[in-house]
Amino acid sequence: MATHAAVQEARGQAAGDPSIVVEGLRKSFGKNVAVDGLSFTVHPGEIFGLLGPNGAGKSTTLSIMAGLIRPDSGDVKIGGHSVIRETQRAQRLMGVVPQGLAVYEELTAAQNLDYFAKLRGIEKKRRRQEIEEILELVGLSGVAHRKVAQYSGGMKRRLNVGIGLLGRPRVLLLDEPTVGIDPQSRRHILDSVRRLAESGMAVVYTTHYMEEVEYLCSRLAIIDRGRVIAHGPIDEVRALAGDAVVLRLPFPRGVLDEAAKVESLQNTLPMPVEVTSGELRIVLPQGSRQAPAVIEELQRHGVPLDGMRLESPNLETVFLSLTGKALRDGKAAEEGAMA
Amino acid sequence: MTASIRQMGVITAHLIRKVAFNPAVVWLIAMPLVIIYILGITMHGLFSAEFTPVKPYRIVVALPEEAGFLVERISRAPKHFAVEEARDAQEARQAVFQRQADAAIVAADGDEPLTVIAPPGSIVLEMLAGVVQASLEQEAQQVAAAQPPVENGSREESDTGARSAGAADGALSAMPWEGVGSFEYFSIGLIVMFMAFASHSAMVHCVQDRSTGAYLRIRALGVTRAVYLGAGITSGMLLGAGFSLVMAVITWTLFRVVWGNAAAWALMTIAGAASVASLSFLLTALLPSDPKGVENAGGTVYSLLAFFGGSTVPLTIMPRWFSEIFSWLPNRKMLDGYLKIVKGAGVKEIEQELFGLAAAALIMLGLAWLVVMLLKREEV
Repeated sequence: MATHAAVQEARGQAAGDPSIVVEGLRKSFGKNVAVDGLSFTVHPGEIFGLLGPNGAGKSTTLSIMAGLIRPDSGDVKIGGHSVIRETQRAQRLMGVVPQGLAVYEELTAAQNLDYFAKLRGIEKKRRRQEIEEILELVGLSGVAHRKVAQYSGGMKRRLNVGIGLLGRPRVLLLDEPTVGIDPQSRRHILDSVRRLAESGMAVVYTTHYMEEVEYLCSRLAIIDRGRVIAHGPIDEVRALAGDAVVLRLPFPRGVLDEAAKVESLQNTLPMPVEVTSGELRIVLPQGSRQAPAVIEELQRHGVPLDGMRLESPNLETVFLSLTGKALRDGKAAEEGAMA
Repeated sequence: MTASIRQMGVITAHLIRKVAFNPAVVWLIAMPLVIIYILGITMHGLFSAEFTPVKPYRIVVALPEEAGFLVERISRAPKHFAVEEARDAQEARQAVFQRQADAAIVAADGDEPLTVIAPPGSIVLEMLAGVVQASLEQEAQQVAAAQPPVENGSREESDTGARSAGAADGALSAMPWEGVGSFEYFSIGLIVMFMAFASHSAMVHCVQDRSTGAYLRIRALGVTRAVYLGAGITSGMLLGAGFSLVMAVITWTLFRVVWGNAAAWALMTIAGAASVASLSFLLTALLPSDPKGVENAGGTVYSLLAFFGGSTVPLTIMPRWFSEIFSWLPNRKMLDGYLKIVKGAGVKEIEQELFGLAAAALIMLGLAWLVVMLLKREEV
């Protein structure tokens, strides 16, 4: 906290003044409500996590915060400037890292940075210096003049993050910046984000990887179908799971009639049951003392118990116990496993 | 305002660079040159005044005695026509229908007008109609009598697509492609066609930006939607115009195509590039998040336009109705405009085409903007 306060002073901002204020954000596309009453604040030097499954409304939230989409109601203030009424002033204070690889593969990393720096209006002398700093930060100095098409997926992701840092923004919005990359590049990105926050940047980090949120963020909001289902410091949110534990066991496809079995279990057991990526997860809200009864039920359904384990509560447990479904869908979980 | 212009310049330069440095640009230039060469050689006869067929065309005539001068005139060109007489008009028609003859000239007794029967758009129809018309006019001058040997009126037989003799010279002589060589015609046609592809590639890149997230990033850097779209259209225009310039130089060097009045050419190129860029903008507005779809849609639309606009199939061999009903197409306006320019027209003579292209560009820009506002209305 001492570091946090020092950073705030160094930036000339009154202690306690948030860099980002999101108030009652609501956005729907036709009948589909993408964001439903989202509110949170992020202070300088803080990393705020937006955790939710695919389609939860994270990217829409970021598009609204970036000033691209107008919300139906609510507002976002960046450094005190409304993205609705003072869009360009707010945008000047932020950097955005989209979920997709928003880089040009036919250009080099240096050329990519130069292009976006020109759009940002950074003058030539400062541009060169900033580009060198960013390349250093994301670990691409040695390959700065190689075409991005020749980069690995992780290197492209690092460049994607680097471009978001042009103009030394006070606020950084990251939309799932580590999807589908190797563990080394993921760690590099996470450490870079940490360092940026330590330098005083306010960061909003959206992901469906709960381990990233646990590693990076001090506070978070868990969202599902556009609604906040849990919000606050990470320990408080984790505590929402109470005594709950998750019983996990392999559930290989083809061994059992998966769909029928799961449906039968869901009807029989009075707790959330979910199958994701060949794994069966059952939340035990009252802790491990519920395990014997559940195991008995599993045996009655003919589910093999090999490899069964109980897991302590984490953010995924919270999500599972609050929504009855896994944080990641099968595809996302597989991507995470690959990474 | 200054920032917007700077941003538009940066994006425009980037889009042009992306397209111009793409290996596909070789295809974009090489492909039309090959096609021009092949069509220029093979279709040379269609555009040449000294054209002679491999074998004389078989012409069956069923004419009254007073039209004997016509048979005599046609028979004066034995390399072009071999004339046979039929018993009556019915037999002459049948000969053409059964492909025993290439064309027929019939005139029943009395007031029935003279008619040339031949497959629509065929060379023999064009040639014979010209000869018949010229003969009629010459005869009319010689016989200064009240009753001409055959009626000067004419009609078309729609089932075979026969063209009247009277139509041959009058209106056709006003057609822009008259008197133009095959290399000139196809150089213009193919440049008009591929200019659209060149222009469209810039707009495809704009849609790619949307799908990768680059658009979000660019917008978050303070670039407004209007500036971004403006840069896309400007890039499309500049790429189209640049392509035309490069191709004009190459076709002049390789095929000796003389492009005529420079000011007229420049205006026609700018207006043409504006119209194709606007059409591309309309296509991208309809498919804003589907780069492959936009690419394919462009390919299909521009190929169809090339056909109907006379780029790939010369209008010299198409039926007259065909060239008339598609004369409003922007690429056809460009074709007509360039054809006039290579024949020596100045700015004044191509005013109609320039206004047509400007109007087309404005209409498509307006439509595209409307579609953008409707389909992406949630965007700021």
